[in-house]
Amino acid sequence: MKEKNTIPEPEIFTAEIEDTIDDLFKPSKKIEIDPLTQEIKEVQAEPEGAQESPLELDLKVEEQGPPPVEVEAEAAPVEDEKQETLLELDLELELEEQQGQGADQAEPQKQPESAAGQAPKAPDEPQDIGKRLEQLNQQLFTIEWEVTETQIHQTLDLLAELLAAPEVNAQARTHSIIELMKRVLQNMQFHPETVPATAPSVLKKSTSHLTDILTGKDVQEEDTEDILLELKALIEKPEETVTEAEPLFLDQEALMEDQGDKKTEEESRLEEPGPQGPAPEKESLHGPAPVFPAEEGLRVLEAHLIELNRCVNRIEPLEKLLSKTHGMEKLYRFQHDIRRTLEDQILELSNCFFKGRELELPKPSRSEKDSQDYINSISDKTGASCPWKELLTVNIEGMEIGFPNDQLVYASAPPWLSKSAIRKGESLTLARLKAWPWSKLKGLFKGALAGMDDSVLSAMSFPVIRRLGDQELKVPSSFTVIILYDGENGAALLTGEPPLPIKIPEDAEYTPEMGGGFEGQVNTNGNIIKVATASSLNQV
Amino acid sequence: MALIDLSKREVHCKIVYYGPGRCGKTTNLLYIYNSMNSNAKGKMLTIETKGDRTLFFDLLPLNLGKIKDFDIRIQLYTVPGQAIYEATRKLVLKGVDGLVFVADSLRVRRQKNIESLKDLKKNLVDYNLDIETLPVVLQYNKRDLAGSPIPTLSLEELEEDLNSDLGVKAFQAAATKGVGVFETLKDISKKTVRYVATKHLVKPK
Repeated sequence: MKEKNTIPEPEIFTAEIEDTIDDLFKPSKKIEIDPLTQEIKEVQAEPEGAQESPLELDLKVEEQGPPPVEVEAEAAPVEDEKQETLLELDLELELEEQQGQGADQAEPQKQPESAAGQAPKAPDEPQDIGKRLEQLNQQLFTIEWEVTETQIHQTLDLLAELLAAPEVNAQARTHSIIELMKRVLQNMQFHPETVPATAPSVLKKSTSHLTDILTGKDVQEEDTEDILLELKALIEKPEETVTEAEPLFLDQEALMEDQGDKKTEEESRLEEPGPQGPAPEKESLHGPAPVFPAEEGLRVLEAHLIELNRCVNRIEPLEKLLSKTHGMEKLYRFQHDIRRTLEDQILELSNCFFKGRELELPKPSRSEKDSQDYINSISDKTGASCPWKELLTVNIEGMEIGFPNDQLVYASAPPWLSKSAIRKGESLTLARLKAWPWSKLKGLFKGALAGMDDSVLSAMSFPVIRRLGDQELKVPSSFTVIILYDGENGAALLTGEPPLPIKIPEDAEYTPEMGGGFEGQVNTNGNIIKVATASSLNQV
Repeated sequence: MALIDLSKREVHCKIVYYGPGRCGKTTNLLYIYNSMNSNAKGKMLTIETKGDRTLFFDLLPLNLGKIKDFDIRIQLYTVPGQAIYEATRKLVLKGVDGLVFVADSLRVRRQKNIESLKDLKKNLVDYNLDIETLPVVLQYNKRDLAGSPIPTLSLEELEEDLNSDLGVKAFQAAATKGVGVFETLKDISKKTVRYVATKHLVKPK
């Protein structure tokens, strides 16, 4: 305690920190990251001296040679790379090259995965309880840094997964801890202003306690009681300060979870329809909150559940369609997550309030079913085959090239002031598209560039594509500037004609991944359209 | 600037991985995140800001636990290397305590390395920071390509281009395989903590 008010001696303090850094900052396993896909592969540790694998050899050379090179600036010039070790890197080089050609977009492209908060691994992979607890711990670390809705959602998902695990269900105390943790997180989400600052640390403490219980450590019953009390204290706090009108049955849910067979006044009121009108005890806590009589509350809740279920039924066919549509993976995951969240909520509320009572949730209605069948039929016919219903096409050197409508952000003749510069340039700075130096760029573009400020647009530039497949692209004296941009990648083409829209029939065949700047090709009754997208052009 | 809260006994340091687009900054963080023991790391976050455009940066929080009753935390950030994200790059640099400049060994990226270092110096000046006084280390990434048919820069060239003025410690790395990643991290973390402690935790006379 004495130390509490003292400032440590910097030298001793930093020395101690440095020791900790040495202890903590080291790899616990050997992995490799695919330079192209950023996929993580775990590498088995080979016994010393085993150098059969070229990849292993490569690693060892780097690690055992001059140690992971520390080039002291003041040290003698570093010996040039070990020329005698010709590393077998062909595959990697190809990948690096491709990545290199993918230009600067590679980094942002992969990142949305993390943005969605997913660790880079298969989401549906079965995971053991230890792994889940580890993930939970990581989530709580993150929440300790910053409380965001996404983080809370993900943590709640993890808790739901844990609750479903048989190891957790087998013990009442683990179940109670997780339920209370959920409540704390829900409060963080909906009433963050009422959650005490200690909440993240209590949650972490609870996770650590959970881990101890589930890993079979000797855990005292009193410690569990303490954890439960600490969690309850976090939950009870917001109730005193909540001012918004909340239906009484929400409180009942809370109380049912953590009180077991001890019934509160609110619960009793819900179970035995009491006098109509507001309950005075509740008023003292919540102010003039409208209090629902039990049956009325349950009826409203049931109606909401039915509506939620209807929403789920509406999302399902859309989700199915997106799952089969190339380029819509992110949107699919988004819909999928919404559906799962809704289903979890329905399940949780049903279990909580309608246990032992059959809640009749409607099957998809006829109109919904029809639309589902319709979408299914579309996706069966075209979803897997051609991702686009319409393309904008130009004829270049005898090839019919199609561009996705939503990526084509600009197609127009160049301004005469900069026509020559655009024609010769390796890249096209958007500022060159101004008709006059004082003209505005805003309004010239559509799609992902629409609405951007002039200052941003002026600074953007895209590579001008001079070759597609084996074909060198000649620029005629009179040409159209076409710019594709998908929010991350961009590219410019100079074509002899403006693009024209073409509808893609439902029975068109699509062959993906052709390379050479093309995303794929569409075959419409023998007419071949090679499709180029912003990202595929960047791979040229 | 480091966040030091004496009442809560917390020290937060911010380390930024800077460098040209695709030099491997995020790969460094991914490697650390995926290979490090989970008791010291938080979840790797990628911040996606959508307004008129899409901007990205990564954040990996590391926790050293309690030392002398102080909670020591290190935040690792990367900046978007692409030229158009200049505003974000500058924003991420705000309050930086330590820097790792990741350079690309590919010969075609030589100019980008130099430009990025210039950009870094300029952005630091805008925050009244001096690269000479901040803890900085260099990391020459993609060294596994040296000796391959792909044209790469020699260490002398990299030193000449990037380190002749700075004269700081430089590490060779192949971030996809983890070579040099933790060496760089340890060194910059130690330097940064020392810098922060010396600057902010000096005992009152």
